Parts: sequence; structure tokens; C-alpha cells
Amino acid sequence: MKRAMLLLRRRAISSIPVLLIVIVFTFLLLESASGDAVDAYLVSIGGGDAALVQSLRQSYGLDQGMATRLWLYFSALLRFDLGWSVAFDRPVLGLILERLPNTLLLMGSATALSFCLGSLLGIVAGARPDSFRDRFLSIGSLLLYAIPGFWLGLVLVIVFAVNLRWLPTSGIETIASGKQGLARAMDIGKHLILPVSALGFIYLALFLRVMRAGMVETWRMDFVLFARSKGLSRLRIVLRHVARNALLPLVTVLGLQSAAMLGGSVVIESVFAIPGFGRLAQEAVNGRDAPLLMGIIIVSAVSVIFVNLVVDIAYAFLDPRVGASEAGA
Amino acid sequence: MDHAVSRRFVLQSTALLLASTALSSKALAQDAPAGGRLVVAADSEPKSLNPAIVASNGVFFIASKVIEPLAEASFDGENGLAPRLATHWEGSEDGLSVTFKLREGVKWHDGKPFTSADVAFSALQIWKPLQNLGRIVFANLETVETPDDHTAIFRFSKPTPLQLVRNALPAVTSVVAKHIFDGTDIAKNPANNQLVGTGPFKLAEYKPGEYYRLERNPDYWGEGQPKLNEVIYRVLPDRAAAGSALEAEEIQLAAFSAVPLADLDRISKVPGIKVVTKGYEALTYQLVVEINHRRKELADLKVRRAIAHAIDKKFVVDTIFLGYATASTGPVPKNAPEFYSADVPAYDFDVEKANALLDEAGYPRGADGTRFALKLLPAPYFNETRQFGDYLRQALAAVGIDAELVNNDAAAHQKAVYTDHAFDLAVAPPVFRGDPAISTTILVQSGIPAGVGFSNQGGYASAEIDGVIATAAQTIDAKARTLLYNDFQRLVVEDLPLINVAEWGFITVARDTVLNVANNPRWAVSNWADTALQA
Repeated sequence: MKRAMLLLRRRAISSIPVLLIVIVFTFLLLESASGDAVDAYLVSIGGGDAALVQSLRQSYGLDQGMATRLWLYFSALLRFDLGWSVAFDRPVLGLILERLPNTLLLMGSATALSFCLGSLLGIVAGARPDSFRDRFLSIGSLLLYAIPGFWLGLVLVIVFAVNLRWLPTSGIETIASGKQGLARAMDIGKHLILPVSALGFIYLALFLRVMRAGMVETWRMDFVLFARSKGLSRLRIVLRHVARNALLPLVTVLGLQSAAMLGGSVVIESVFAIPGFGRLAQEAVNGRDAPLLMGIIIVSAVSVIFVNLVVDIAYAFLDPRVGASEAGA
Repeated sequence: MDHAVSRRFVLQSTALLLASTALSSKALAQDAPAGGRLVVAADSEPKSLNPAIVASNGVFFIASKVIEPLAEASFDGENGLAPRLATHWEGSEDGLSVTFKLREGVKWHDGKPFTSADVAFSALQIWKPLQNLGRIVFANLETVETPDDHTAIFRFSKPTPLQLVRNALPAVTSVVAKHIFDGTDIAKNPANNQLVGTGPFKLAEYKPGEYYRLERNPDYWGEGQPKLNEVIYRVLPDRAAAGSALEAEEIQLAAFSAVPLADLDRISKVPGIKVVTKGYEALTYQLVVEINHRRKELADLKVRRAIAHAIDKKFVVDTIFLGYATASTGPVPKNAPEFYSADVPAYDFDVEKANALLDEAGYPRGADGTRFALKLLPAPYFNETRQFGDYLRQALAAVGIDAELVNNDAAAHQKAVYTDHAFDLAVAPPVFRGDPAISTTILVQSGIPAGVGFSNQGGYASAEIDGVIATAAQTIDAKARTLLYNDFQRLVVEDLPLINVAEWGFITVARDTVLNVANNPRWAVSNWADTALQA
């Protein structure tokens, strides 16, 4: 436990410069994009005259210099104020808090699905490397991995929502249904099946491959030979010795993957009309909404840092060698 | 009446379908069943829903059911209008005033009575100073007198044609309640999103990213209206999602071509779904090639004419718009019969002639077959504008002009074309809004400052065209004014400050159970008081 606390403290301190760099870089990136929030807004309302344009720039604070705006942003951030979204005309924090749960639910379920199913199938494949079962699973999962997420999503919708009518086409829950409690949870679950499958099945291959590769490696180890010579059953060797040792790299991939899923959710959320974080990010870019986009990126960065921390702590528990040096320092 | 007929038959390709829907909606108009929940697709969530401030189709689509204008467009009403909050309007001889008689017995959704004070407040405090279109139409509005609760007299400092005011009524005169906005910071008033209106529906609930729920207004002034109990706008940003949701019967209607043109053929064959091309006649979009006259080559009329000859409008209509459009002849669309004039020069598709004109202009083909190169910026707002950009590049290559395509997103395109003038040719989709003076003359008029979107930013200046625009702006007599706009069309097509290629309305796809769809020329953005659902 002490090791974990030390790790936590070190990480918290080292992530501050990372966040600063992310913020400044995002700000400059948006600044260098052609067109600002007023241009984006004028497109949506069909234009306006010069005086209107002028007054809009003023009310958005875009008439001030770049340095002033960056400074204002930072000083607000120090007060934990994420600012005001110009595209939505609402506080950024409120918007993010409204959308984040949907994305966490979607990503969490999809990651869990691809992790559990992927490592399970990886064990099946790695139990007998180069068997027919192994080949079939490896090639099949690669095929899935090669499919673009939005396409898989659209196909799933056409088959299961439009043709079979088993599941809803889109949305996070039935609109204005008035459902409460368990009924509502069931409803949300039903809406999540297709997007979670579309997102989860694609990343399944990654976990499967890593698990399988780890197991292939482990089979060659001396302790496996020893276990076999002890006369342990094959199932016991596979689960207790081979798979368990192959689990470590899988946790690394899990950490990396949860960050990648944030990106994947942009497409899936838009195909399935889920009001989530990814769609918000897309709308922020289209609307040149700097405060909103920076808020999104900060929250994403914090969550990626957090997930990596959790992964490191998990590592420390799974493998006693990890973190020993950090704790000693 | 002949107006109404020609308006109805804009899109020849779908005349049959059109006729059938016209018949059924007429037959059903009287005894449409009451009740039910209509779920429609919405592709965006406007940040301000107040149509008095933001006169745009995205806002009207939702807000027009809650907040009403003085009059709405109509297929068979006098001057193409049907009364809403105003029952009668009359202009003075000198063009310095317009008198509106207002509807009596109308109540705001919060129970307070609607009076002329609300109209005066909306006009002077919102339409004129704040609204994107009202700033143009009511630029010379000085005062609004309210001799009694149901009369409002608009007084102008300079003659303002009644014809213009009339044509602008549906889009620019959404009336909001004085008692809600007076004395507040109007731009920041929460009522810009929590709408209070006089319309057939009340805005009951908004769940960001998911839906808007509108509820029946039991005290609506229209007898027996509205028919529906609820209208729900379900936010579906992905266009494939709208089509799937319609097929799965999760929604009953998708307007504004939410279902892509390429899917219409297939979806029209799905039993229980109808494709309606009517109902957008007063919201015509125009496909236009904007020209930067600062470029030496493009300042030459021969070159501009050559480009016009190089474009095959029939191909554009048939292949890009899949027939759901009409070839343009000039800056006023055919389904604005009040102003449209066919008496303009025609530029037939003729590659040889285009090549000859370019040779004549002094731009012979070089060793590689190219005469000169230029930058082409297609607006990203519609699939069709992007596709036309691809087509135009090929069409120009055929006459030896090497066009480099520059694709931007909406904000970047807006800045590149209308502020930085960093284009040679651009593809734009301006809207004709019922009168050339609202958003059409601005496309060719000179002296507009940089940064004004959807305006002449190509550096074009013609004293003659500017003169006609200025005269028409103060010509009171409707006939004389219309003639001036006929001249305007001829001059524009002769001199080609820009090239009009095609014009289109949107497509509505609905379940057969939705009744009274598309029964006015701004249907998608009208109040839907008579829209009903078959039980």
C-alpha cells in the first residue's frame, strides 16, 4: 500500500507539466486553425452584417489578443473554472458533466467486453498454439480489427434494428418515456448493446493477440516444463501458470486502450446519436469552441493519466518487481 | 392562382408524386384526427432558439411551432401569405408606414394577453437591432405606434416598399412577449431558450443531445388546433441514423433532406414511407459559383462566360442532385414567380465555345494543355456543394483551366472566402428568401465590408447593378419594383459577377401516417397546427 501511495504522489506531480503542455498546445492548434467561433456561428445562422459580426466577436471575447485570452484561461483554470462554451452558450463544466457519464458507460462496457472476451479467446487460442482453433480465432479477430467502426455500427443497425427490430437504432434511452429505476436501466442497457458491440468487437483482436502471444512465450518457460513434469492437469497449467503470467502485458494494453477508446467513441457516438464526450468534441471543433475543446482535452488527459496510474498500481500488485525502484527512491 | 400552380410544379421530375400528395392532403385537411405524438429528426441543436433574434431555418424548424410570425407563406393566400398574428396589413402611398391589424383574443403561453405592445417591442428592440435578417429589412424603421391594443403602425425614415415588408413577414417577424424581455439583457435572457410564445405548441422539455419535447397549447387561437398532442425533435446528427430510425418506425418524419438523396430511391420503396418534395418553395437554395474578380483572368468577362459555358447544368441536376433540383437561369429562382424573369442570356453547355472564348481572351493553352491555374473552394455545408466542386474541377480541366480544390470545414471556409478572400472560385449555397432585397442583391452589390458572410466578397463592382439595387430598395410601387428586379436579373446574367448553376428545395421523408405534410411553401419551418397523425 505504501508503494502505491508513493507512486500516486509522484505521478500527480509529474502530470502537472504534462497538462500544461497539453493546454498550451491545444490552444495554439485551435488558434492556427482558419476561422473562429464567430465564423462557425455565422454559417449556422446564414450570415449577418458587419456590425453583427463585430458585436459577436466582442461578446465572445475574440477581439482580445491571443496572449490575453490564454492568460485569462489559465487564471480561470486555477480557480477550477473551465470557462464558458461559446458554441453552446453554457458553462463548459456543466456540458462535460452531462456528457461524460454516457461516454464512460459506453467506453467502460466496450473495454470490459473486449478485455474479457478478448483475453478469454486469447486463452483458448494460446492453450494450443498453432492449432486449428488458434488459427481460426487469430484470423477472425484480425478481420474484425480491420473493419472501420462506423461501418460495423451501421451494419449492426440495419440487421438488428431495422430488419429484425430487436433493438433500437440509436440514442441512449427511449426518448421521453418516463421510465424510472430498473426499467430505465434495462432500457439504457438495450440501447447500449449495439454501440458497445461495434466498439468492443473491434478492439477484441488486440487483447486476443496480446494474450495469445504472451502464452506462447510462457509455454517455453522452465516452470511450465516443471509443472508438466509434476503431472498437473493441462487445464490447471493453462489457467494457473501460463495464462496468469501472460496477463501482465494485457494490463498494459488495457491502459493504452482506454485512451484509444475515447477517440473511437467520436464516430460511434455520432452513428448511434449518443450524447457523449466524443460527439461533444466533434461539435467543439466544428464550432471552433476553444474553451469547450480545451475543457474536453483536459478532462480526457486527466482521465488517461488516472487510468495509467490505476494500471501501474495494478502492476505493482500483480508483479512484485514493479515499483520497487520507485518506492526506494 | 397561376402563381400557386407554378410553385407547385417546380420539380418536374416528381410531378406525379407531388400531385398525389397534394390530393390526399386536401382531402384530409378538414377531418384530420386529433392527438398523438409526432417524432421528427433534428440534425442540430441551435444555441439560441429565439427566432426573433436568429432568423435561420435551424431555429425555425423547432421554434416556429412555439413562436409565431405576423404572417406565414401560403400556396393560395393573397400575395402568397396567410395571416397569423396579424390579420391585415396595408402600406401608405409614400411608403413611409405600414399598418398591421393584429389578431384578437390571442394569449401568450403564460396566460398574459398578446397586444400591439409586444409587436412594437419585438420590432424596435429585437428585429431591427438584433436579428440577422431584420437588420436589413427594418434598417429604416423609426417607430412603431400602437393606437390601440390591436393596431401597430410601423413608421420608416425612408420609403420602404410594402412588397419587401410583405415578403419578409414569414421569416423576420417572429413576435416575442414584451413582458418577458423588456428591461432585461435581451441577448442573455433565459427565454431565448425557454421559449414563451403564442404558437400551437409549448416548449415543454429540452434534453441536450437527445430531444426537444413540444406540448399542445390548449388555448391556441386556431379553432380545433393543434391536432397533435406532442411533437418531439429527436437529435440525430448522423444522416444514416435518420433513415434507419424512419424505417424502424422510431421517428415518423425527417425534413430538410435529413435522409440523403442517394437513399431516397430505396427508402421510397419501403412500404409505409413517403418521399415529399413539396413544402420548401419559399426556402430555395441556389448553387452558385462565386468569382474573385481580383484575379486578372476572372475580371475578364470572356473568361467568366467561358466558365459558364463549360458547366453542364443538366449533368449537375441529374447526377449530383439525382433530379431533385432545377437548372438555374439567373440570380432569382424559378419558384419565386413574383420576381423571376426568363428574359436573360443563356449560356448553353458548349465546351468548344468556352475554349474559343478563352483563346479570344488571350489565354492560349500552354505546352501541358493548361491555360492558367486557380484555387477552387467548395462550401462544405452540403454533400452537393462538395460534389459540385469535384465536378467543376473536371469541367474546367476540359477547357484548359487547372483548378486546385481546397477543402475546408465550415468555419475555415467562411473565413477563407468572406474575410480573407483567399479564393479564385468558390461554390456557395445562398438562400433566396422570398424577396431579392433580403439576401440576394447582397451577393453582387459592391461596398460590403470584409467578414460579411454570404455576400459579394469577390471584389465585383458594377455601378449599373448597384444603381438598380438602390432604386429598387426605395421603389414603393410593386410593379415598378418587380420590373427593376427583372432588369437586375438580366444585368447579372450578362455580366456574370457570379454564376448560378442550379436551385433546389429540400426533401421530406415521412411515414404515411403523418397527415397534412407540406401544405405551405415553408412547411418545415411553419407552425404545424394542422399536422396530424392517423391513429
